[in-house]
Amino acid sequence: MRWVVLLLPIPFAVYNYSLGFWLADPAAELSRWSGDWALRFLLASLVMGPLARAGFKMCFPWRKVLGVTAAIYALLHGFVFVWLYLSFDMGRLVTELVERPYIIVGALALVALFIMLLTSNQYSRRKLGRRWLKLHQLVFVAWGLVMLHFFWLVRSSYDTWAKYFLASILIVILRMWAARKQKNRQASKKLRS
Amino acid sequence: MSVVKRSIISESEVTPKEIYNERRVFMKRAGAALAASLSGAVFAEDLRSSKPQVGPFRATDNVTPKAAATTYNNFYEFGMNKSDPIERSGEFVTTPWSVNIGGECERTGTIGLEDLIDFNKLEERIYRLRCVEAWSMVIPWVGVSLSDVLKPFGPNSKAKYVEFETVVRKEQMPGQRDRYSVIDWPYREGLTIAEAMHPLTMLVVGAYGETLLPQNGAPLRLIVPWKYGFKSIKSIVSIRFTDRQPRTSWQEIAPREYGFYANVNPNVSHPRWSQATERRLPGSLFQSNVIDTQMFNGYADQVEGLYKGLDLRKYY
Repeated sequence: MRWVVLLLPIPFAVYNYSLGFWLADPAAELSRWSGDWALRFLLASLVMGPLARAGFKMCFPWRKVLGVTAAIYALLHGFVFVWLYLSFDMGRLVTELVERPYIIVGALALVALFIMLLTSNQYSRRKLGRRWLKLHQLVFVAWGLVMLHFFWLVRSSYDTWAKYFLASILIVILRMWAARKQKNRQASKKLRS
Repeated sequence: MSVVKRSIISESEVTPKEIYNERRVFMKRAGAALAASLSGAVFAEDLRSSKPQVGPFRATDNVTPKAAATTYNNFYEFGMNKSDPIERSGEFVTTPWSVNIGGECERTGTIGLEDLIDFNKLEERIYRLRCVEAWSMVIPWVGVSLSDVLKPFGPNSKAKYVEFETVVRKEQMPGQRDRYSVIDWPYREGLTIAEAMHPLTMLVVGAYGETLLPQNGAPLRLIVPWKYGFKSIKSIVSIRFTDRQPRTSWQEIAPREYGFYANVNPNVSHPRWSQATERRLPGSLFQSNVIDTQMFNGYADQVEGLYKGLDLRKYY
């Protein structure tokens, strides 16, 4: 059952909790944990498509599982913010949404992921047809916004952000390579037929 | 355990016994790292035998448990994670320690910590500490007013500012060897002469009734409670009187975000996040203690006079 991957981040959270890291500032810890994992799952889902198109067909169903998981952790991340940073004060939420660039892009990324989450089912695919594919190009929007959100958050060292950025570059290269490979395979199929 | 002389103070102001007892258990658990850092045996003895008096300026907020205040720290000399200062300070040696006093004053020179601070005049004060990251703690510091220490050095009329520096010891402070560190060592901070001579400004040698731990800035640190925490420089080795506004580390790293004054001000946001509220630590999973930030961290009565006529938005 692929959906077990939803539970993957939990042992990490429990481990950090047992070390006592959450004792002081649970807001920062929970926020960091959920955000980190949302980004990881997002990047992982972006790898599945190209791998499948390059011939590794078993990767294909993982794209949905990882993407949905990313969206769920992103929602959790947003919830932690509203709960532990804002104490559900909606007035302050509006202020933050309007005034803080990193929150604006974060919220927009969350909206993009949420839309994709809602439409990650057969019903939506049927209803939207070819538009479904276009809609899910929102993942690239989310990807860019998340990297910007993270970059604007960094206070001390860009070390971790740089690692995610490097991973993103590699994924872009992978996607370009897979697209080329798929084209070649289609071309050679045409030649044979 | 030092004996704190009690005068007429209310129940809420006295540090609960649980915290003093908790300290013993905590000390046992912290293990080798702590044992090594307590090699400042000389000072531990001084602190214990010096009987810190109950000082003025005792905040009535609940004191932060020592476990939180000594395991969750920003001290990039040891690393950029909050857990690095306690985990990676095992090699740090705090004795002997001397401070270089110089600049625009009569007496200059290098002076040992035991001569710089009068260990018979130590006071315990409970101060709020507000980090620029929007979290805060309440800590019982032990020390003396900075003005009492600096006055005998005779700052002259050219002394408009005081500049401080933290120690650089790459072999003992792993964060200073980090390639990705944003700080150009040594860490530098500064105050105007009026701020430095204000009675609230404290030179600290202990906390929670014991000698300062490395993660809290052993063996000597500054506390300026009405400013963001990064102004309260740790592990001081140099104090200079200057006529020019000192370059401070965070101001150099990100001048749009960190100013020279760095007064706690809920009305002036950090460019990227609001300063209107703070999380009083420790929080728990179901309660993060978000409280409104007060002007000058609640010390407005004592310090607002220093800034009459100054545009606090412009001079952040």
